[in-house]
Amino acid sequence: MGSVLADITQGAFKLALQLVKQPAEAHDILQDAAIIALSHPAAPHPNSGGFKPWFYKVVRNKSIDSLRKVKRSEGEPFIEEVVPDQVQHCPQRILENAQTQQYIKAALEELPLQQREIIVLKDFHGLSYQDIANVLDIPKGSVMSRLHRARCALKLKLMPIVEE
Amino acid sequence: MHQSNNCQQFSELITGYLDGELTQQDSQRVSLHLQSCETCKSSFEELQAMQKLIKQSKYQNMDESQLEHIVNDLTSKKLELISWVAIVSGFVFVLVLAGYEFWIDTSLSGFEKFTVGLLIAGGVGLFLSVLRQRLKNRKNDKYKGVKL
Ligand SMILES: [Zn+2]
Repeated sequence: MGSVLADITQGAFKLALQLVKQPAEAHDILQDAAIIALSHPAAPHPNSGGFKPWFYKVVRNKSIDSLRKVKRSEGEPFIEEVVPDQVQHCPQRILENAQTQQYIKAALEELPLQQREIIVLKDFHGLSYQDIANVLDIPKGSVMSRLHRARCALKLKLMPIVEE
Repeated sequence: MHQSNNCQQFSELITGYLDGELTQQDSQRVSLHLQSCETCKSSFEELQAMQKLIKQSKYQNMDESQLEHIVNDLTSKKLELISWVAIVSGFVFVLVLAGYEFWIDTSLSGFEKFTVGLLIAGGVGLFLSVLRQRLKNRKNDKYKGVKL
């Protein structure tokens, strides 16, 4: 199935997987998101250009709902880790090792949701800053700095691994 | 690293530069700085390498059957739109054809043609204005505000 819609759906599934980490949850999220796409009066048409970021937004919000639900069932509140706005120290020289490829997914999974989601939206899914702003519901002007902080945090995660 | 104050201002811009999201002016500034600053150049190259690795990361695919199911549902919604477009354009075509036939019909007087033409134009105008209002409502009210 090589259609555009199949690609968007497949991409959205991977986004859900990147956020909630559990394939079963990700499948449920996609099911819910598809129902919303078919029934919500504000849903852009699946063949319009606006469909992909809209659908990604639904999937992202459903993923957060799902994370919240899991936490609640474990008896603890879901508190989204708040990442400080300050520019942290951005490490230098970490990626000299070809092995990094196998660590990068693990390092991404360790990042707080807020940093993980913006990195995968840009670097894996290739969304523009404008589309990222729409998906995350933040001003376009804050995408670059948030993304930069997230990338620095990821570099920091990769550093000790490479030094081993 | 005595340049670090100067480099600080480029820190975030390097991310924007990598993503091709800077204005032409900023992009040129960064490009010039990267040519002259080894520290920033290597940090740019690292971000670039990291981006490439993430892009190549493998994640499992969705179940083929579920994917097919969802895509079929979404496709039928697409077909629904195509059907509507077909119906409306067919209708418009018939209207135009009928109007033309009516116009060249020599058995009717100019006054009769004028009156009927006015009625049709009014009907079409009304239809268009209602349509326009509906589309506008759809955009303004529902598109952004709804919690998804
Ligand atoms: Zn520099």
